Amino acid sequence: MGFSIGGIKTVVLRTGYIKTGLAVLSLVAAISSQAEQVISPVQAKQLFVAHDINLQIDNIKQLSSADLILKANRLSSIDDQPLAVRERLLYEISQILSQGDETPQNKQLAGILLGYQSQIKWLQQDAGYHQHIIAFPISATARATEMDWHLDRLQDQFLRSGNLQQQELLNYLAGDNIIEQQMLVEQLITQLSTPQLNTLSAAILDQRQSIATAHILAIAAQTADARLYQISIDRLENSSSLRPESIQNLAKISETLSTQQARPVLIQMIERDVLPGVAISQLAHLDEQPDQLIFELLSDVKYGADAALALAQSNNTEVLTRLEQNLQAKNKLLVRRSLLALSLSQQPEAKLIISNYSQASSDVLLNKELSQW
Amino acid sequence: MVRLCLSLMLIILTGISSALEWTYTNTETGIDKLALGYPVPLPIQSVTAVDGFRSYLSLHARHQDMMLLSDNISGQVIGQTFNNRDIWAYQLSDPDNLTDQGFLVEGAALQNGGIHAREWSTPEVTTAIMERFAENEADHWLYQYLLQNMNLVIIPVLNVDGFLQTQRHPDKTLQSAFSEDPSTWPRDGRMRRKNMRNVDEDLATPGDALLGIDLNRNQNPFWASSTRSSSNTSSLVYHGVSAGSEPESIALHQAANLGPANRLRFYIDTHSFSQLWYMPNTGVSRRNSIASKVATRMQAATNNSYAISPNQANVGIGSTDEYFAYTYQIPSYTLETEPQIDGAVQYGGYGVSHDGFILPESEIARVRKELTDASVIAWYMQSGPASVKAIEITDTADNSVIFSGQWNGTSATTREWQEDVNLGLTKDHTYSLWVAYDKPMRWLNDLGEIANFPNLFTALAPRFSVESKDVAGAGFRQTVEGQATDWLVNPGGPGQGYLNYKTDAFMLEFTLSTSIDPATASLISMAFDNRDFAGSLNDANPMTVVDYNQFWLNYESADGSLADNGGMDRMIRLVDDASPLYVDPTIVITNPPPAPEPSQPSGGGSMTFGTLILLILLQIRRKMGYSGLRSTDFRRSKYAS
Repeated sequence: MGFSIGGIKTVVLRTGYIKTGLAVLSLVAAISSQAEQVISPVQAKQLFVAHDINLQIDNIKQLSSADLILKANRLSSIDDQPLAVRERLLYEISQILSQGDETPQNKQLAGILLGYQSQIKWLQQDAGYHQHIIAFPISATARATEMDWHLDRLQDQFLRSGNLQQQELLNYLAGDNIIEQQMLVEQLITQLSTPQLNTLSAAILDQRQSIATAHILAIAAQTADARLYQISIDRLENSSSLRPESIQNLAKISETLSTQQARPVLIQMIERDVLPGVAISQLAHLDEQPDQLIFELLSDVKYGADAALALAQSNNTEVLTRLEQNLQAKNKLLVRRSLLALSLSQQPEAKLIISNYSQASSDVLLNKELSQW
Repeated sequence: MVRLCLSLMLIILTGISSALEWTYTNTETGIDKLALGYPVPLPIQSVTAVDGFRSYLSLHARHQDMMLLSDNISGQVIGQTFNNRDIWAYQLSDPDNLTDQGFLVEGAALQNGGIHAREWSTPEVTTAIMERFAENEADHWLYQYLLQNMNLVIIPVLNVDGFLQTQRHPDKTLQSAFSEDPSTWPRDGRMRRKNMRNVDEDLATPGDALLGIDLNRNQNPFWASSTRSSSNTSSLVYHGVSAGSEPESIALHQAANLGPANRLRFYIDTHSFSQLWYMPNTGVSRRNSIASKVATRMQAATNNSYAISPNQANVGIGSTDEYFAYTYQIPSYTLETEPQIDGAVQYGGYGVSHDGFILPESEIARVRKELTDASVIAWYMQSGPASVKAIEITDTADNSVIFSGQWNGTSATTREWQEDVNLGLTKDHTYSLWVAYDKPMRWLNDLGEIANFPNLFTALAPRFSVESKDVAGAGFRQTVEGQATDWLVNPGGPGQGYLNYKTDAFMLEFTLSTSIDPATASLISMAFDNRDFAGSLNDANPMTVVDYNQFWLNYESADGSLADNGGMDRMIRLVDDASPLYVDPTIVITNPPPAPEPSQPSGGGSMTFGTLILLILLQIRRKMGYSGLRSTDFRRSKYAS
C-alpha cells in the first residue's frame, strides 16, 4: 500500500499503519519500527538534515568499542529517531567495524549488526522503472568484515610468528572449500618471504594431486615458478573449469615470468586450448618482434582473430610489412585476418594499405566491409 | 588555468566537491573498500569467449572478425560517440534481402547492448548472439533459416566511450557527491552509467564524475515527461537538453534504417540488472498481445527466472524501448539481465550496494547462453508463423506419387497453389504423406535430437487430418498423429527428407478410414494444425503471405478471422466441391454465415472440371478398404444430415 502527503510518497511494503494528517518527518518516524520503507534519496536527505546526521556520525566516530555496542543496540531496537536515520548510523558503525580487528567486543558488535535486517529501501530509478534496493547494507558489511577476520585467523594459523606451517596449509588446501581456500591463498601468499614461497612451490610440486589447480596457479603467480604453471595447464583440457582468479593469474604470465620462461608456458596454453586468446596476446608482446607463431596462427580458424588483435597492438613497422605481404596470399583466411589486423592497428600506414588493397580487389562483399573502415 | 577555472565553476554550479574513491575488492574491507565477496572482474584480452568479461578491443575484434569471415554478417558504422568513436551495428542476414519465397522483404529485429556503461554483461550477451549465428550459419536448421528470412541487427556496444571508461577503472568508483544521491551510491569509474559528454577519463579530476547523459532517458515520446528522469546534469538519470540530443541516440535511431525501418518488428535494449523484461504497452491491443506472448517464450529460455513487467500505455520515462514501441508499434523490451534486485547476494556476494552491476565472472557463460536462446526464440516467432509450403502423397506399395503440389510466391502478399499430380486416393491403400512447412518446426537439443525448447512444452509429434464430405453432405475427419521422430532431420526433399531446413517437414503413413469413400466424396481436403516449437499454430491460409505491421497481417485463424493465432489450414483439396474456404466439413450449420473470403481469390486447391471428372473415373476403378493405421481421431459429425 502507499500514501502521499506533501508530495512525498512512502510505500509500506509489508506491515505498518498509516496516520494521515501528520507532518512528513513524524510520519516516517511513526512507521519506522513497523515496516520496510521505500524512500527517495531526497526524503532521506531531508530526514538527515533534520536530525543532524553529520554531527551524529562525528560523535559515533569518537565512541569506544563498548559504547559502539551500546549505540548499535539502541539504534537497532529503540524507536527514538526515524528508521532511515537509525539505519544510516548503523551503517556507519558497520563501516567503522570493518576497519577493526577481531576482538571480543568487535565480535559482539558484529553479532548485533549481522542480526539486523535492513528495512529502508531506496526507490532506485534505474534502467527500467522503479525498483527497491536496500539502502544501507548493514549486515552485508558486517558479513564481509567477519569473513575478513576469519581469513586473518586462518592466516595466523598457517603463518605463526612469520613461520609458515606448510604441511598444515597443504592439508587445509586438500579440503573441499575451494572458495574460502582461494580467498586465503590470495591473501596469504602476499605475506610470504621468497624462501618460504620457494619451499612452498617445491612442496606443491610433490603433493600436487591433492591441491586444486586454482591454488597452484595463484602460488605460481606469486612465486614466478614456471613449473607450477606447466603442471596446472597440463591438468586443463580447455578453459571451462577455470576459476576467475585463475584466468586473471594466467593473464599475467608475461609479467610474472621471464621471456624465456613464459614462451613455452604460453605455447602450452595455446596447444591445450587453455585461454588461447589470453596466451596469444601475451606471446605476441614478449619481444619487440612478435613471435613467428603468431603470424602462423593468423590463418587458424579458431585463433586467427586473437593473433590479428595481438599483431595490431604491435608498433613494429615490420609487422605491417608482413601483413601487407600476406594480402597477396591465396589463403583467403590469411588475407582476411591480415586485413583485420591492419584495421585494428593504430599505425597510420595500415589504413593506406587497406585502401590500396580495396582498390585492387574485385570482391564486392569484402569491399563493402572494407569501405566501413 | 582555464581548465582549473572551468572545473571550479563546475564545482560551484553543481555543488560538487572531490569524492571519496572506493576500490572494489574480493574480501578486503575498509572505509575506502567495497568487498564484493567474489573476485572483482577485470577486462580480459581475449577475442574468443572466456568465463569472464572481454575488453572492448577484444569484443570489437571479435565482431570485425565475424564480419570479415561470414557472408551472412555485415557491419555498418551507424554513428560516432560523443568522443568521436565509431559505433558499429552488425546485420545478421544473408546477402539478399528477401525471404525464401521471394518478393517479400525480410522482417527485421534490432537488439542493442552496452547503452549503460557499467552493465558489462550486455556486450557479452550481444556478442554471444553474433557468435551463435556465426558458428551455425550453415546448420541447415534454425540459424540458417533466420539468416535467410530475417534481418537481425545487433549493436554490441552503443555507449562505447562509457564502456571504455568503466574498463579503464574496473575496480574503482567514487562515492556519489550528488546532493540527490544517497551517500552509499557509487558513480563514475566502474559504476559509470551515462555517456561521456563533458567528462574526462581521469577519475581524479573533480567536477565531472557526475556528468554525462543517460541515453535511456534521452528518447521520445516520453522525454522529460517523468519524475524518473531529471533535468539536473548531475543526476544519474539526466535526460539531456532535448530528446535524441546525444550522438549515441542518433546512432541507435539510425540503426533502425538498416532494417529498413518499415520492416522492423522487434526490439530489445539489453541492460542489467534485476532479471526481468520491461515491456511498454502502446495501447494497440494486438501488438501488446504479441509482445506478451513473445515475452513468455523468452522467459522460458531463462528457466522462467525472469519476470515480465508490462507498463501502462501512454506514459514513460524516455527510454529506448518506448521509442521503438511507439515509433514502430513493434514488440519492444528493456531486458534487465540477472541478478535479481537484491544483487549479487544470489551468488554468495556480500550485498554491497550496486553489486548487481558486477556479475561474477563465473556466471557470464551461462547468462550468455540463456539470453542468446531468448533472443533466438523471439526472432523465430517474429519471423512469422509457419505456413504449409508443399505436400506429396505416395503410394507405399510402389512409391508412385499420387498427389503433389506446392505454394509458390506470386507477390509479396500472395501465393498460388501449383498442383503437379492429383491421381486421387483409393481405399485400402497405404499412403505416405510428406508435408513441408516454410520454417523449422522443432527445436533440436545439443545432441541434435528433437526436443522441446527449454521449459516450453508443446506436442512434439506432427499430425494432419483428412477431411471429407460424402454425397449426402455428411462430414468426416480422420486425424493421423505421428511421433516426434517423424519430423525429418536428414536432407532429401519431397518424400524423403526435409525441404530446406531440418524439421521443416514430416512424413507419416496413413490409410483412409472406412468412413471416407473417395469414390463418392464430394470433398476431400488435407488439414494441418501443427504448432511450431514456440507454440504458434500454423497459418490457416498459405494463399496470403503473413507480414507484420503493428500486428500480424494475413495470419488467418481456422475460420478466416485475423486474430494472430493461426489455425487449421484446409486449403489443399484433393477433391474440391467449390464450397467456401475455412469451413469445417464436419460441422453443418443450417444457415451458415457468409464465410470470410481470402483476400486473394486465386488458388486454394481449386481444380478444373476436367480434372474432377478424371478423378472420379479413376476412383471408381479402385477397390475399397480401410486399415486405420495410426488413426487417432475419427468421428462422424453428429450434425451430418
